[in-house]
Amino acid sequence: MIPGGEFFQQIVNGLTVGAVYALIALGYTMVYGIIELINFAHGEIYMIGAYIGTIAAALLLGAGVPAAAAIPLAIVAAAALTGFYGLSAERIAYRPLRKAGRLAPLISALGLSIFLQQYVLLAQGARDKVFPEEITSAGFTLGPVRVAFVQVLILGVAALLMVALQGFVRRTRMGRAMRCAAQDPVMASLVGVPVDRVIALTFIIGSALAAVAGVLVVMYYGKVNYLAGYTAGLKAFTAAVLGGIGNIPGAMVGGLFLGVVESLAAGYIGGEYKDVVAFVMLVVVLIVRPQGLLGVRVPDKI
Amino acid sequence: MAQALAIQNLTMRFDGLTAVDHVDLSLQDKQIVSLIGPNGAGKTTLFNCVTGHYAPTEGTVHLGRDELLSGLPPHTIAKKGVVRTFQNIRLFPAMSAVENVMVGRHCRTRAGVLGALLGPPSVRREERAIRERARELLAFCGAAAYENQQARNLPYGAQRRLEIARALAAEPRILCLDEPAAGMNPRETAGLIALITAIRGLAITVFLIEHHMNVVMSISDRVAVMDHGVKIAEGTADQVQKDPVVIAAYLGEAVGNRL
Amino acid sequence: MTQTGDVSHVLRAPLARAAGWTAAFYLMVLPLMGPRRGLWVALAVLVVQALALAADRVSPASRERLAAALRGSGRFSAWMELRPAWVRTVAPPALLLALAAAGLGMSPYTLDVATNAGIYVLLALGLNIVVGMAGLLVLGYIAFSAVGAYTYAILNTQFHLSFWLALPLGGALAACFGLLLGLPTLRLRGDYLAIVTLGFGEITRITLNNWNSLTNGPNGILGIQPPSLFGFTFSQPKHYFYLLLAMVALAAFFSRRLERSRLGRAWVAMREDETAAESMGVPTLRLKLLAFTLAAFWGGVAGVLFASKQLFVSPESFNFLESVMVLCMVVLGGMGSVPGVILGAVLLAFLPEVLRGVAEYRLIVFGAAMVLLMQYRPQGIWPSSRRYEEFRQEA
Repeated sequence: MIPGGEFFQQIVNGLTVGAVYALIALGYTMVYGIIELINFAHGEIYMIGAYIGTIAAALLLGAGVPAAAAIPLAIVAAAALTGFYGLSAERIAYRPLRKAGRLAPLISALGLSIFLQQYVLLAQGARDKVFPEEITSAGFTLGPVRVAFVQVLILGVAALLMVALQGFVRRTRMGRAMRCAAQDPVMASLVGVPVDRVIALTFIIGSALAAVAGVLVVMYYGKVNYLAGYTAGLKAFTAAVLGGIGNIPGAMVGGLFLGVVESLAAGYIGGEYKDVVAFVMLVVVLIVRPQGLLGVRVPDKI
Repeated sequence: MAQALAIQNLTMRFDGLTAVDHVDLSLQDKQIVSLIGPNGAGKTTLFNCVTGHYAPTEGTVHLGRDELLSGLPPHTIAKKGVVRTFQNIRLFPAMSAVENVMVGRHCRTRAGVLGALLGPPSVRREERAIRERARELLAFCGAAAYENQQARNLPYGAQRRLEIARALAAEPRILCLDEPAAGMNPRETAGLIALITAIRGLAITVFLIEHHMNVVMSISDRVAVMDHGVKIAEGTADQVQKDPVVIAAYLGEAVGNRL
Repeated sequence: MTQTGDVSHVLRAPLARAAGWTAAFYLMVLPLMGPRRGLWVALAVLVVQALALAADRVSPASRERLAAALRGSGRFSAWMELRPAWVRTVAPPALLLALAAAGLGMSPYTLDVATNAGIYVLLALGLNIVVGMAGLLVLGYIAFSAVGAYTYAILNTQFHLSFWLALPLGGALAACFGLLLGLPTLRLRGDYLAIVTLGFGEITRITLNNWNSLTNGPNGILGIQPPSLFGFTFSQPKHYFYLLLAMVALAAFFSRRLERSRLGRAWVAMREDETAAESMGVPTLRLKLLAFTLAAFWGGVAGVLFASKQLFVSPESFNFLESVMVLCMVVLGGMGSVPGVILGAVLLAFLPEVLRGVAEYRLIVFGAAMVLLMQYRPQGIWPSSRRYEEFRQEA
């Protein structure tokens, strides 16, 4: 049976959502790679980025700034401020527990996640936050598939950021320091790498990327809600694990893969069970191939 | 004499590094066999293959004449009678000394969930027996004074002896000791030699990794030497001591700043 | 003059940092809270930093001493455990009798609240087996409770299954789920296991929410029959109160027994050094599975009780926040410590009542408390002295 246009449309939609998952997943994977912590609060960071971007955009547009300038400015503002949230999170909830085993940081992360979610609820209310500008649904058609300009924007921005991150990690001094600290923090500090600062930077970058993803999502769907961080966070974590936790290209691959599979599942099985797809994949990957698609199995030394 | 342990063609490869390279070694019942060699020779890796922490890439380990051990998980191998101690002491730090040894009795006792919940007399008897046996073993290993102290608070020498007591609690046929004399002073070392000799008296075969040459020389029935994953010599302590290949392996390492 | 010069010189860096953080926090909360409310937050941040700075200047070790005081020395737990045997044997039944007597005088409302707390205590004791005793982090625990509750709900409304049969059946079914989930996942590392259990919890909730033919979806199942015994129907709050009291007593008793058994000892060994335990013949995977399944069974039983009291079940009662709540009861009370866990559960279950006026701030305080607890008293309120030692050595 030759797949019809429906199939390719799902693929395009899936890639778009997948690009968003990938951006958020990067934050999870980088933090896990460097301090072996699942940053539960990362989903909430993404949601906060979405809110800040929306509010900033509303402010700028209300002040008369044209959309073509307001929206990029809003994204930058969201990235910067959310980066700060990430930095604070690391300082307050994670750094003091650096040597405290595995359980305490996880519970702290859970607590922080609840705290941030409730904080936004109290500050902004339970109703959806609507993006101030009606984003055009104009697009173009490519054979049987309709591609919206917004989708191109999302894919483009995501691709750009991911390439930039790869470049940063592979070619700059700080990026090398990050890779070094991820491999062996003790050794890294012994050779002069400022591990604390590297960790802080990891959180900032991860949070900024998640914020960009958040604003893009609000533009795509038109609205965001304080509960969005929970679901998106879990799915992005699934993507990170799929690709191989700690592995940056893996997060990108995992995100896209998850987005496409989810989209196809929604199309062919039905929308309500869409969320289950991600969780089932998570469980399956962790059981069958815990190192993910691109990860490497590291044997434990006895 | 019956064969206690047969290591045949044992090979362990990690992603391009061959840590153990086609090693053949056999231990006879009630022998004390020492495995020596420069650091990084693959001795502990061999141990890990024997005790089930690694599944060997090639080769087999047999208990007795024909009981296959390689590929089984560590707890099964322990239950079959091969128990070990660790190079960097691995006691249960917040448990007391006697509790540590009581854990060693786990695979020889049976009380399960129902027994725990209902607490019938048979289970209570078993618990009492476990505690009694643990104290006996502590005394046997010379650590009775530390019975109720937390394991991590014990002096170093006592910790080593506690680890041996715990291993003995599992009623091993073969006791694998990984550098038991490490960090011990001459008096403690003499005590260890006496202990190992007494263990052999219990009809337990002892497989020993050691760097302390006087321990090796004074109690070993046979000595095997490894270097870079390969068994380079085997024989009595005297034979091995005079073997030029062995001397070269050690001295060569010394020149390379390994000792 | 030099004196003041010294002071201001030394203070310059920390003051700059304090100002920096205050400004940063203001900027951070500004978009979400607005300029005026944000100012309050900035002020709070400033005050906290000022207090810390002042404390440091007045008495350099004061902060450490405060932290050490909060962390405690484990002496209370050790003291408790050293009380003569007869005290430890008599205390729990005495407490039980006292509670039973108190129940006679409580208002229906109080009885109801107490009964709900009792259900949470059951859940916390169940979770304690796997988190506290075996040391495995489980995040989706409420799913087992959901299995038990829905088992009773469906079988009672469709086939009039009696409550007393449903108790073991719901537990057994939940235990089966636990076994199925545990078999492939318990060999995973701690944090991965946590996520998988979280995923399982969510899968369960979503399935319950969408499988309309079986579970009636988001509308839930109504019309569940309350328990009845020889013609006597449990219809009043005090009936449920005494039922729960009995169940809690049983659960606590079993937990204590488990702790002190060969099994409990093996779990502790596993927790402290899994590799060493394996080498001593402790079948760690099997024991993890056992803990998991037992905890699942207990969660299922609690679920049946819940359904029989509410007479109505819906997927929303079994969401992630509930799982987190039960976990916090265990962590707050003191992992692995039966009295601690009971205390933690009672405290957290009664908290909404105490905080009625500020209900909307309940969860945010809760989240903050979790973060702070891990830093200042990770062992919980009433830890077992062994757990206290384990935490102390990790620090």
